[in-house]
Amino acid sequence: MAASLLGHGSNATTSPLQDQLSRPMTIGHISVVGASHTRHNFLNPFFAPLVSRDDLTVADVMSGLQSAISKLNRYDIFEPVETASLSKSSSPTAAQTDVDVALVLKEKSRLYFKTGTELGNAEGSANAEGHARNIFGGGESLVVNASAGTRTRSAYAAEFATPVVPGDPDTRLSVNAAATNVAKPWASHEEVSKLAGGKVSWGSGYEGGGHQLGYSMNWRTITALSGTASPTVRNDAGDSVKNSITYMYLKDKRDNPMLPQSGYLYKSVWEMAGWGPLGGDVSFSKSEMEVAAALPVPLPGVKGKTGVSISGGFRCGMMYPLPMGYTFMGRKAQPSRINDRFQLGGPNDVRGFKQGGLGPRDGPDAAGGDVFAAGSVNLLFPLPRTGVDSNFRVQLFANGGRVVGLKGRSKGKASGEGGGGGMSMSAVKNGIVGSVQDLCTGLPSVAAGVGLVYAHPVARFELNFCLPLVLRRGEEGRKGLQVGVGINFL
Amino acid sequence: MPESPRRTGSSSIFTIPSPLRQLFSHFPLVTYAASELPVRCPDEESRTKNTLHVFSSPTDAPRGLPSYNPTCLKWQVFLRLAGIEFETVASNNHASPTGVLPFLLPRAPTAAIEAAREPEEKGTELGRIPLHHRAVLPVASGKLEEFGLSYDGGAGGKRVGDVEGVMRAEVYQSLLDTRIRCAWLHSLYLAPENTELLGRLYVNPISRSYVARASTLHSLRRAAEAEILRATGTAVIDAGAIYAAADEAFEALSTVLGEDDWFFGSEKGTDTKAGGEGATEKEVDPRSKPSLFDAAVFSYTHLLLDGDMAWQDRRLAELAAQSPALVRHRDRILDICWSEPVK
Repeated sequence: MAASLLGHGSNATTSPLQDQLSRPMTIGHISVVGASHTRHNFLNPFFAPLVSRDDLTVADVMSGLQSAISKLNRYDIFEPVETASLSKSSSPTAAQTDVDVALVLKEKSRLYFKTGTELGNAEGSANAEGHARNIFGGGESLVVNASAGTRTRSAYAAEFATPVVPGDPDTRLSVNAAATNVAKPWASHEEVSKLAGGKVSWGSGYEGGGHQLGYSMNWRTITALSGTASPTVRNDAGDSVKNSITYMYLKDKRDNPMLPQSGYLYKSVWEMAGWGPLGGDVSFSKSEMEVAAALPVPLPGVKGKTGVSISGGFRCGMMYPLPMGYTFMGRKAQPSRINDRFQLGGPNDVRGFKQGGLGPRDGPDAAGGDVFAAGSVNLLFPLPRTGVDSNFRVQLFANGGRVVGLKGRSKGKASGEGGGGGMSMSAVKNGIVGSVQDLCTGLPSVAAGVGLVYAHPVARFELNFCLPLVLRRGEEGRKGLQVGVGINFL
Repeated sequence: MPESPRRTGSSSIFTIPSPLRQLFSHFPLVTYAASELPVRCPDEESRTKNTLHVFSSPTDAPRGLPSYNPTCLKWQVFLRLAGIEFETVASNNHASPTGVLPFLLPRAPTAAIEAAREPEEKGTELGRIPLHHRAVLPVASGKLEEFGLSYDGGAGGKRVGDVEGVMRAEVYQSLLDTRIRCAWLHSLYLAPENTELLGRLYVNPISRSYVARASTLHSLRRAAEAEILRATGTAVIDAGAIYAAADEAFEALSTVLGEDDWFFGSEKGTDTKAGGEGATEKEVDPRSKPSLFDAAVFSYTHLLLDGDMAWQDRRLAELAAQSPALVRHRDRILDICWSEPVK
């Protein structure tokens, strides 16, 4: 560790600094001040490797302390600290190399409440949040929030999270419960949901990313249908319980998530619902993948950063109905419900389309699909007379995508009835193959346009002028201006 | 095209400048045929029929068997008596426009499909608009009587009578709506012996999840309790009084029916359309036709007398079985509506 910090050890000429750093050092005493609510055994693992050892150098001690401090900072318990202070040990029994370390911490307030109003993703909301930090003195947190808004009619959520591995801020266990009521105007209904679950996340490290494995029970109710709701929505109205395991992997190497100029992102989510011991009313395997990358574009005659970049994104997903129970063979699988299918379109994914504007439609409603793919290419350049580091960009974009429903309707009534019989596994397989073929062979629905991007640290705002170029009948394009607010854009 | 004149018109406050409108008119450059709906969505064939959404099991509904919910069964019978062709679909209250079953989705009128076609697209590939590309407005239960009465039963003339204005009918209707309904609610929802039946009918179809089932059972019971207390105007539920009131109500109904085929048959207004030739064998005496009231009585008597219901607490079922007139009335309607062997 020390070697990497100090550069190349092979360098024969030893500078006075290097000489200094490679001298032995032992820590006699570490005092941590200001962590009155934090457990001793929580803090120990950070410093234990440094004390009572006599084979450390000054550099080892420095980097050890630095790493301990940076880990502590990531628990969100203390106000950010930069350094510890070292002093010659004052103890009469101290050795020549002994130092005392004093670390002054300041605990963040352990309980706080905030209220606010938000405007984003075509919705306005008011919310209240209570946050309890460091509950048992080991970095545990409890967040409770409530919000009410135009699209998310109401949401109540509570999450308790705790670190699980001593000295590791990135491995966390959490349990959560939530009750929400979300309006889905693109499919003429509201979805009421009550869920409870737990998850483990690990490996996020210093850079964005990491793994997450979760389990959840979600009781969904499709209700409050509008008068013109289609038979598709009426057919799926009511209750269904989804018990599922979700695994998510994320690697985010972008320089700035809101306005990436370079780097890439990879994200994949896999969800297994209903199969085996999971139970519930829906059973499927659902996988989704997203890649995004940005490249800075050099301009002739301009040195350094130009602020011009080209970025691209691609998302795809598939949902595969499975039979309930433990076996795959000889059992019937239920085709997907509207609340489990993919929706595509809207300012945050395929611009130039309304929310849920792509894919199969039943009357006024977006029915969603079982297989989807979408991609975009964006060229961003700074506004004239603003600097390279400005948060504003002009973008030219072209994006498109397709959502395809599970095939198999033409094979007669048996498969179409959904409620009773279900589909045999071979029919599901043929259906998926058919859907993927359709997805790959048909030209995607495409829109292009030009717009203004503003990257605020917490969200990205886009104002685009869009023109749909290729549509399918019934799909809802958006000609003219479209506003997008969010943190995750295609 | 999705951007129809309707849409531009609706945003008239932001009138689109004409150069922009000209530009817009060129887009989209290409329009392909509509995407196919996913498997689970109701198929085209089901949209060519009237569908009555009722509480029923997924196996009973396609066969048109009687619903196990009195209100649903009342309308199911009324529409059948009126001679309206419809399919039954197992559904739940969330699907209904009013929040309560039943409701009817009328079949897609072919004329509307024709009208929906844009003139230049007629006859082209794109002109073949699938039925699922128009909105269907459901008929809530409150409008079903009108729907049924407005139906001209073909050669037989109108097959159902109208008890509107028959003063006595209103009195007896209130017997059904309060006394018998309260006893029904108590019997099905609150009588502990009938928990299994309640579970089979209203709880298990909700979900396979135990949590969802337990919560649903609890809220159904609370709702039934509240409704009974509201109807009886008492602070506590007195089961003895509820069943005694139901007994009186059945007796009163039995007396008013007497030896007639249908309730208030002789009091109905004369029908100008007398039964003509070619009347089917199901045709009833034109002077006396079943009405919505008959359907309402049947909806309780049938469910109480039906062996498939498996009542464990048989108090109310026995009260219904006491009156031979009501039993005959039930058999008569069952015979008319479900005489053909089910598919």
